[in-house]
Amino acid sequence: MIHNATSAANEWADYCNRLSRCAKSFTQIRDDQVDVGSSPQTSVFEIDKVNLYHYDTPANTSELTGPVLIVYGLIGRYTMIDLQEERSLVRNLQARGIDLYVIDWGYPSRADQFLSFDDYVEDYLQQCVDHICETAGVEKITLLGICEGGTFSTMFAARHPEKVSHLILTITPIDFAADSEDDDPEHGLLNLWTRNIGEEGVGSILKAWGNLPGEFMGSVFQAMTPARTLSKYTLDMVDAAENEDRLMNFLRMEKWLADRPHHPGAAARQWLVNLYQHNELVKGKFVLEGEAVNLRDITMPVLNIYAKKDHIIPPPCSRAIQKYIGTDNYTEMELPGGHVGVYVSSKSQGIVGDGIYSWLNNQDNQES
Amino acid sequence: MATPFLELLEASHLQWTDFQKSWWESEPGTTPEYDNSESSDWLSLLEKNRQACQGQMLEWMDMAFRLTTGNDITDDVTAEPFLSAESARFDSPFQDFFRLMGSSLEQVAGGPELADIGHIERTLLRQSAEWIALQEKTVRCQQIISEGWVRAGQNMLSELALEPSLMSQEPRVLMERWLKLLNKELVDMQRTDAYLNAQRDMVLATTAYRIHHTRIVEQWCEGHGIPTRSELDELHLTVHQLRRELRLLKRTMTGVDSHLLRQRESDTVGDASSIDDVPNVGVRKKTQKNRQPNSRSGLDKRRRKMRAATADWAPIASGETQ
Repeated sequence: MIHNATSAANEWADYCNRLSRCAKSFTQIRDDQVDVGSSPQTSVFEIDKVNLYHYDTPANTSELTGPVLIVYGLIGRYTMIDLQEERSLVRNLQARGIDLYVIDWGYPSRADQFLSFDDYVEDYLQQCVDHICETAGVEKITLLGICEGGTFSTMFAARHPEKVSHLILTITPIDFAADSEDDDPEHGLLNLWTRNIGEEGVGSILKAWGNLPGEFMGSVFQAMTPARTLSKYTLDMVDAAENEDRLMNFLRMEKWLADRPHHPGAAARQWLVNLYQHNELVKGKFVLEGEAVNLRDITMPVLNIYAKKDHIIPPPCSRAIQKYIGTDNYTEMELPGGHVGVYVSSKSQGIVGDGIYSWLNNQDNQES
Repeated sequence: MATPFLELLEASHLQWTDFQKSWWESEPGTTPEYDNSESSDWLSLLEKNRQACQGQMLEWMDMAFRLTTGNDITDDVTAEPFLSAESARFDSPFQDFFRLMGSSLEQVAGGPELADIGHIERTLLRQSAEWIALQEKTVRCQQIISEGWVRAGQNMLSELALEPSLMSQEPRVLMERWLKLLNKELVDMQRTDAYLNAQRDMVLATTAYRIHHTRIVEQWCEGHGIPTRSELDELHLTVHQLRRELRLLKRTMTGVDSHLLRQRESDTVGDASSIDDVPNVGVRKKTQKNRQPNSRSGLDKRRRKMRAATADWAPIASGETQ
């Protein structure tokens, strides 16, 4: 029993004090102080709403590798890789001499609802790769795909192996039915729900909104971690407010979460129906520009990074790629955290940067 | 087909009319008795709901009082569940109400259509039926979620009963334990067939309501000469298709140009090989075909492929269901 009512009262009083300190902090912090994606970058190529950025090479750093193009997905924004100065995949990779580019897909509106994977992979991504090859004077580049961007990169590598020197995938779904191999009940809810609503459900959502609304995806992600969602502002934020750095980290993550573009409708239909429901990629039935994507055409070295506690992309969904590609030069890297933790957790900061750099270096050494 | 709600409404109305008639006919100074037996059915459902809510609240308050005053709850928890899953379904009367209302509206809105009257009324009735359906599905989904919460509460109380020392822990420790249990219970609940069916039904009801709502707004827009969402969608589809064709054409022309350039270069150095023999290093096979100067058929083929690939967009633009 709660024998010590005084203890409970004290804790409540303490909570109220912290809550008021948190409120005070909110009156002092301005939104523009919560900077996300602040690494200096220059737009080098533009097509429709898509922008190709080149991260400015930091002073006293020489580029030791060929160009690496980061391909983020259409769910969420690429700024995740550069959330803050001391937790930034971009800065980690740059510090090791990697020449980095990133594609910003922009903010698709209802006018963009007919953009499909064909447009994203065969047009936008291809043009960006061609531009980098042309300006950097190389024939091939390294693709670093993230989540849905990893699936884009995989398709591109299968369709244009002559343009991709190395394929690096992080938290990327390939086998969309492999969630059944994951015993953790918190993993794979997205796969289960997407299959459950069926083609009719996806079709009706897209018919009603044109695109897959960013807010809709946000609420789906919230539902996947119900208790965390409930306690986020009542406990986590109040705790974070005890320390200015922690509060700023919390607010940066909130800013990134709030910045959720809509997913173009035609691409969303392919993503949810053709891939999540029908699992066409591993069956060799996913079609781009009238031709099936054959994963056996991926012959370049592949590095696959996945998160052990990823509840959005269960590890078996990522790891499955090994069975389908046409190369034995395949390396896996398992990280301890969750989906977003790969980029923002303090533990994974050095591991990911070091892992990618070492792997690229080893591959270059083997080739030479 | 009988419509229970309309029949109920009609019977109540007749009873009210009878009552008024008997009141006018009654002796001055006397009041005839009002028979409300017909309308009491759904009123009793609402009353049942109110009582269930009140009972649950009293149980919670009692439990909270005993917890905070140091009284033992072990016996209560082990003797019988704190709150049965059945009593958690305090919203079922609302579901009955929605079901009755929905079927009545559906019957009227789905009746035979007349050529010259009632179009707007039918559309609005359909909208109401879809709103009712949405409420029903939402309540059903909330009901399943609330059952998960109740089960989590029961589990928490069972843990407290089995491990009484927990109660002497700091409130924060208890909170963490509660959140962990709640998360597990809700995640498990979200994998059940009942939840999955309710979730799917709710998504479909939400989108059906929104689509119909858009249709009504579009009817109004058409009447006032304002471009509709569907018209804009059609326009965007056309623009999108044109842009793709343009890009494809550009890519093909670039391929042709580079081939001609390479051929001129090879001619200059005395290479007499034909254009068709020019190797295409770094270009996949399909592009090689398109790069041939006389590959008009290649372009047509790509166009045909593109048309085939975009054929499924038409239903989106026309607003039809897939």
